[in-house]
Amino acid sequence: MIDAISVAVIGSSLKALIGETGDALRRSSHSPIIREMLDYSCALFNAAGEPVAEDANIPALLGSMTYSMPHLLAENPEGTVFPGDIFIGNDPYRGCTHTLDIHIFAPVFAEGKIIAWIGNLAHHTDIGGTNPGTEGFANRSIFEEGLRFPWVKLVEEGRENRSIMRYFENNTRDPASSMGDLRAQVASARLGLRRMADLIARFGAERVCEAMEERLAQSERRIRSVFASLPDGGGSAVGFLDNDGVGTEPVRIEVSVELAGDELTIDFTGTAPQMAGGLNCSRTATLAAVVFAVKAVFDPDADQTAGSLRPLKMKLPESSAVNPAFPAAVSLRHLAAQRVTDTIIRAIARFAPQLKVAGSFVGFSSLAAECRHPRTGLPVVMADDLGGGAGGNVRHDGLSAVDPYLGNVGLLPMEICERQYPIRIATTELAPDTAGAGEHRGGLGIRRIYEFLDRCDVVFYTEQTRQDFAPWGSGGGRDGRAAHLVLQRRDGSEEIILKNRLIVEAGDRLVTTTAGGGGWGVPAKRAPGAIVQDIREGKLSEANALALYGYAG
Amino acid sequence: MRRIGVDTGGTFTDCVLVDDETGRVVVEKVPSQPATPEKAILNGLLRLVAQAGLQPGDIDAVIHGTTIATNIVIEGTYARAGVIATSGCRDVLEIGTQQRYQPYDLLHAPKVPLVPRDLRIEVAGRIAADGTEVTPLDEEAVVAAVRKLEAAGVRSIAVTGLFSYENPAHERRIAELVRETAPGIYVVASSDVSREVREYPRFATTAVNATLAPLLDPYIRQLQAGLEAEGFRGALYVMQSSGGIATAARSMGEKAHHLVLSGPAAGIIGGIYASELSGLGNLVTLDIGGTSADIGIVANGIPRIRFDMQLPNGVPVQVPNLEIETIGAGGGSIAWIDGGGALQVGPQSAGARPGPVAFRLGGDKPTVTDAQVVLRRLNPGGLLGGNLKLDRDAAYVAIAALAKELGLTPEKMALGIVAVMEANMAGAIMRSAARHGDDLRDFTLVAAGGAGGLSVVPLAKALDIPRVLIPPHPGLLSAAGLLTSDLRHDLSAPVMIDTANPDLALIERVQGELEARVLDDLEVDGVPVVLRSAEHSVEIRYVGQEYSVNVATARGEGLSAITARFHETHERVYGHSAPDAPSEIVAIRVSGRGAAAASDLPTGAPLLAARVGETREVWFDEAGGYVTTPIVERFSLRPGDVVTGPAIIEQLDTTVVLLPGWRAFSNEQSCLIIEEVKP
Repeated sequence: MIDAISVAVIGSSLKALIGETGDALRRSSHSPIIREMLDYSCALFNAAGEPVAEDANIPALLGSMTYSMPHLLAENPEGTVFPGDIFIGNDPYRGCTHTLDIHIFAPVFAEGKIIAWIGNLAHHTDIGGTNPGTEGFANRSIFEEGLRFPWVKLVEEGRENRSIMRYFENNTRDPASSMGDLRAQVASARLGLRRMADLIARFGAERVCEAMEERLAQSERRIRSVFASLPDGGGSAVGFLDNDGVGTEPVRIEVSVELAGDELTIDFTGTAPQMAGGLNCSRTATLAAVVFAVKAVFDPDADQTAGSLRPLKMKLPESSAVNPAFPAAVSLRHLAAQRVTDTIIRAIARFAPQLKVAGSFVGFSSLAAECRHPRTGLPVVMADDLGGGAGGNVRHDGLSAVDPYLGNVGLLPMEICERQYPIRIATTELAPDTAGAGEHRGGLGIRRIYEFLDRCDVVFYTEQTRQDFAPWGSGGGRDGRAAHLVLQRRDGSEEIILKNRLIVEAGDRLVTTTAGGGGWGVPAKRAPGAIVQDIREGKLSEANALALYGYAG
Repeated sequence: MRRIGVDTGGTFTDCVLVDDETGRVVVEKVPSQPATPEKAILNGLLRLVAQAGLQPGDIDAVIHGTTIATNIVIEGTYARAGVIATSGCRDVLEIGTQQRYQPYDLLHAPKVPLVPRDLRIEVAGRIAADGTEVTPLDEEAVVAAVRKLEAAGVRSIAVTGLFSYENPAHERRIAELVRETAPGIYVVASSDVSREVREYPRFATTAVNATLAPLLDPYIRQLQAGLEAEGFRGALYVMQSSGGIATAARSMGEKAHHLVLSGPAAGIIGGIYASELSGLGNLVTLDIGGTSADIGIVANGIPRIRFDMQLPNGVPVQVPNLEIETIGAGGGSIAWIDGGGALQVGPQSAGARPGPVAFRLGGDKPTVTDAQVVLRRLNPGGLLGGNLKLDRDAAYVAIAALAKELGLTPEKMALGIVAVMEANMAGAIMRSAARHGDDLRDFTLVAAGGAGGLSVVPLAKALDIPRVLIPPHPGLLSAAGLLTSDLRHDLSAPVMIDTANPDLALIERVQGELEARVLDDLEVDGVPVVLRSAEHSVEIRYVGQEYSVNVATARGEGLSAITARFHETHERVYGHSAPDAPSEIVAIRVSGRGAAAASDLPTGAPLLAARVGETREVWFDEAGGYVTTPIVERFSLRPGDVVTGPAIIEQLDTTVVLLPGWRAFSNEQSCLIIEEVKP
């Protein structure tokens, strides 16, 4: 049996190795989505495909490779995989979350046997399909969502499969960026293989394998001990998407969570059937939301491994919005996954004493504009995603202007936008009076005004525009104000934006105001000094101070 | 020339005087006075000068490394500042990138902006991406804003406008109006502190400057006045984050934020100096403190510079700074066992208070230092010549309690704690090296700071670093670094040049302008012509990439040579390159240097008596238990003397653990060189 010290030392090396592959991927990637929004993840797996160490900057990606590896292994049994092979895959019906996330996996061999796998995934800007950027709320099936790679070899025994590369290149709207990012992914995986070889040379394959197994066991024991230390209990919650992307009816997400002994059950029974549009939460995306929520609520500092997932039981109804059946469209699974997370948090908050929080903005108000570069006239695709207010909590007011839960993307700098696209951002500010009132109020939403300087073909989408679905207050706190997007045409007409694909002309403006977070605790208990400060800072109007807090100066 | 380097640390202020004519070196150490650092400095300088038998008037230059700015940003004790923003960007400082620092923290604390919203005032005025004016500046609103901020008691005003790097007219006019309306308030415009695209980092840098300058400028002025009052007539220089020094005048105002990493930078420069004397240029410097460790990487004698950094509160600052990786692992790091039975070391630290258990200052949790005491690597009889007492029994009890949980012996436990801390450090060093494609087998690990000696040899072994260097006085490395740093001015200009179809005249013009400016500055600073130089480089990247690679170049060098070097660097650092893909130059940089006075720092140290026959029972895993280990007095070693491991080599402020299979020898420069014994 390997001792705890060797496990810790080898574990530390494995984490550093995976961190290094992540550094390499980020710094050498081409597209802003990886390098600025950090939309990538790297992981190390044991021979059975269980993650032992992960590096993820965006929580949505934590755990998302966990559920793709089993598919790869089932389709590529031992004896068909050789040293130097590198696999590519992105199929949501083979364990991935949406087609834009390209996964790369490489086997680690020692003494003729696979003892581990190195993997990474990166969000590519475009992989073909109906819409620029591939994502589409109105997509009717996966066949509108670009290329799907089953688990095939991109590199065979060290030789790049140029046919696949060229085929890929020929089918994306942004080939330079895609090829650059793919090369960065392959180089990152190869770096991981070299570092693993060093590690094996230093500690021996057997000890490395033992250390990996013991890390999984440690993770499992750690999370079980947390569960066991808390009183048993259960709670359920319901959350809604504004619509399914093509219709107007809300989509129900229902979650029941039960903590019993050292196990946790998450049950989605009651959730709506799968959606007609592109917002379905692919099975792996739903599981990633669960992984995030469990980690954040119960043990945020722990290393994420497959061991942490062992005490979880998940029930995902077949052909539902959180476990859609082929060939449902899933490209915008992020919107649903955020609402799924929000609903899990709400369900757990109903019984877990340590979780005193209100709901956060999960609307992710976005636009993707196909347009011409202001100087070169070449076609370019602009994309921007806005966060909003986080929920207040037992200790603090909620964070203002953040992409909460699973997300953590950066917003597009105003100077980059106007330099590269015919779009001027007139203002980016905190939106006053959006925060849900409470002893600790929610964070403020963002107000951003886009002025179009040229004709653009724009996909707009947002969630959480209905006040009844706005970020929820908790412990007596009030709900935040819902998001509101309005397109102001040059001729003075206005159009409310929910999910639309529209042509805009020079002079048109989009005014986006995202939602504020829910408040925590009874507003009457808010410290007068905090109310005065909010008024002084222009975050709260005097009228609302009176209406919400009974504060009259 | 007679020069003094004075480095203010958390505990001590170190002063080193070098007399270039006589080769004499005098050292003085006085306690720091955190509330009034200049008093400790003057006290130290006067004692130093008296010790040397000189008068203050005999000193030609005083070079100062300071942690005052570092402490302000760590503790958040910024000056009260206001912001005047043009249209649309009042809240940029508060919104930032919209990212959370701890994405798994559902009870996240709010991010505190450097300037609160009520002190940020927006006025009409907008410049477009191409520099043309979209909305004229509302000057009346500016004046009203200044009056309001003045009434609110701000000590400084940061002026921020979109696209000011392209056209600074609005920002400049606002600054003018501030100076006219409120002459007592310090004002700084974003276009004067940074010329980089992206509003948030530029505005944040400006706000950092505005919140530091009102605190740092008076400090430097007081220090200058104090020096003059005591009769010092030589120039005062201050270490910058870039690892270069600058005159006091150029360390104030819009340069104030350049002092943020003044202290740590000096240590790396000192490490380079000590190693170059021994003919070594590829270095990993390691400075281990109580709660954290600083890692610096130097290739070919040149420290790595980057042009942006993040403060501990996550705020980005655009300033040339030495690439120093700080990790939360140090002597005070606490060892614990988590709910899953996994051994963890840190990130919690006992720091200096309550400190390790062995210090008997109230600490009751086992730390890395306690483990070193249990293993008797640290002298259980005490440190610093007996001034710091150690209680091994107390440390042993604390470690034994932890050991019991894992079913280990206390010694194995202690060894494990040290091993895990070292594995965490090794990982961080590996990642730092990988950032530039460095092969550690070509490097030397340098103990910078006193506490590194315990871990450098095991780390070298783990990382395949073939050699370790212990400078004569690791604790004085920073002060020595001050005396060997060049005067340095960095300038850059953003450009957008397609390397396939380059505007060569533009490159030549920009390089010429920047070079003329830095050389002028060096002249103003009083640097003799023969010591002035300018180094050129460009920032280059593949079209579509955002991160650029800094490639050194000569003025007027052909583009094909530059791009070839770019592809080669990209291949080395990132593992791939695309020579056929288009690339672009995005910035032109010039670094003006005023070379440090050329004479060598003498390194002679008094020879001390050997501690013949002194031994301790020290645990070495390689030997499988306690070994009767010779204790060697470092300054009893003459050049050529060889010590073979296992051994403990001690000097006043440093203890070196020499593993079995390694040997150490002292060289002519009084440096200790440690290498693996090749079979």
